Amino acid sequence: MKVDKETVKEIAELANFRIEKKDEKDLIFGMQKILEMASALNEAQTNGVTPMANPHDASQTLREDICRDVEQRDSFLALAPLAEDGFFLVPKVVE
Amino acid sequence: MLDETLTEQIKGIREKKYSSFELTEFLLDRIKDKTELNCFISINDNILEEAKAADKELERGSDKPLLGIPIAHKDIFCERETKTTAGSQMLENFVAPYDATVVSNLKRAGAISLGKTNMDEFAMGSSNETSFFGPVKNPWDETRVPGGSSGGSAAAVSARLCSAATGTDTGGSIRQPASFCGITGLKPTYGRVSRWGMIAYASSLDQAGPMALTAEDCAIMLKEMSGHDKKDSTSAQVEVDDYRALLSRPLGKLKIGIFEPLMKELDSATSLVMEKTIEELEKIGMTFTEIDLPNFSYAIPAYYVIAPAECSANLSRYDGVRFGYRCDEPSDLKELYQRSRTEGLGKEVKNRIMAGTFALTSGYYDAFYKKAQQVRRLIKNDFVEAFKKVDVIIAPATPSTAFRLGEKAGDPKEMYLQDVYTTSSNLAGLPALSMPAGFVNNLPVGVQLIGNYFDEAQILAIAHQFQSITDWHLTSPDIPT
Repeated sequence: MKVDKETVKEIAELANFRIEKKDEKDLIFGMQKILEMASALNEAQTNGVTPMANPHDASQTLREDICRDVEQRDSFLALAPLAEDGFFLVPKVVE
Repeated sequence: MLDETLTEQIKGIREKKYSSFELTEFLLDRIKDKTELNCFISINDNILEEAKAADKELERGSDKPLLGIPIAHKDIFCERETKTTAGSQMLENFVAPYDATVVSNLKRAGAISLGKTNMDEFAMGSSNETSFFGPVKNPWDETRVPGGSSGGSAAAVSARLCSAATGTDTGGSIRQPASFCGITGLKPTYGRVSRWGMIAYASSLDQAGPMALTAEDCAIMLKEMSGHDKKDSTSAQVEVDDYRALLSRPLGKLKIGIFEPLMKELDSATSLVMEKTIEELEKIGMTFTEIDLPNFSYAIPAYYVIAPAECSANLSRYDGVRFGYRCDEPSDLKELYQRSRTEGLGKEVKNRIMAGTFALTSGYYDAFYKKAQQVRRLIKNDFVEAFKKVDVIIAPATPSTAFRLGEKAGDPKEMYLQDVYTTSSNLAGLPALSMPAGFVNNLPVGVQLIGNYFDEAQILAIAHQFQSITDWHLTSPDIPT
């Protein structure tokens, strides 16, 4: 598996990163190292093996559809870098 | 007071040898003397008031098990009105609006929070060098790393800045630093301890656990930390044992499994530590037998697909809108997301998010992510088979003693291989602990005990009985002040 500038550009777009030219080399190196290690998995015999997502093979537990949480809108909005009148502020999205 | 264990501090306060206030003052002074270790990201400004309140509660006859004991929390656990950074610039100013379940459980048991310990950024690292707040130094040799990612907690306990701390372990982040710093650290069974309020790295692997000087101290901590939590649907509905009460029970002739290929990889000095540990365990009645773990060598590759994949999803929440770092003057929404994440997250975190995003793309999903999940099942099945033959498995905790700061910074692969003996327990979801078992070149060496599902009581009891005939766990680093 070869990671190149094009791969980094595509994946950075998906991961929501803006990669400067100067950081490209480092990221190619970093990704390459992880994927090189991962490629050892090719040798494992996995035909017919069911993938395991949870160590106990647990399925999602359901709870009664009852609202228990206390309203905490203000305390959560207070964490936002920019908020006003009960809303998070972001740059204008509609002209 | 200096070298007292958690068990001794509990007794000290209860028997009025000293008050919680006096103990807390003593520890705060000691933390000031050891600032060069960089163990803490923040200290609880109200702790002396909380200690006074605990002393009053004791006067009123409270019998809370950890009343007035100052505990340090890895800075990955949210704590109300306290900064919780996860070692990242992204959360440098994040003040949590609630307590993590681990924090509230320990508070309910009477513990007071001393402060938040330093860690690798978002728990991604094995040396504490990826922390935005600078690396922690190993109390045994300040030119060396304490391990990671719970390096601040391990170094704080080792340097006697607190008798117990919380940590988290996704691929070895409790056991490897415990081994490097000469303390005892336990990663419980997946689901034993609630993950609610614990900042997520890889949700199907992350597990919180105790770090302390002795197995007895870990047993006390684990009991208070554990239990089902409605807020974490992956927390187990399995009864919590009274781990401390079970420490000294007769263990009989337990069978301990050895996977020989792991022993052959060790250098001669570490190998000797393992041999001596086995001899000591034989003295307390353990017998040893070989086991086979045919897929063990795939643990690291599987881990480095699953953990990055899960982290790429978990860390997508950091976008500069609702909390955390926000870039200056973005021109549009896309720039806000992209620049906030790029500027606010460190290099190692970005590497893992990128690799994880790649592994989840439609073209590579089957070859990487699905394949890793299949291998994960094979690894679990190997352990299930092994536990039909043996009660516990013994293994090295780390491939080396603590390495020098910067020594492995150039080659991430070298760093990732630090987890070679630990990740398999995370993938399988098994409990495992590291206990101090000797020294090589004046640096501590840990030995790992891996237990069966929800049988933390057994590995804690073996470690406790080992510690009752050895004193590696009580050896203190000679730190120049």
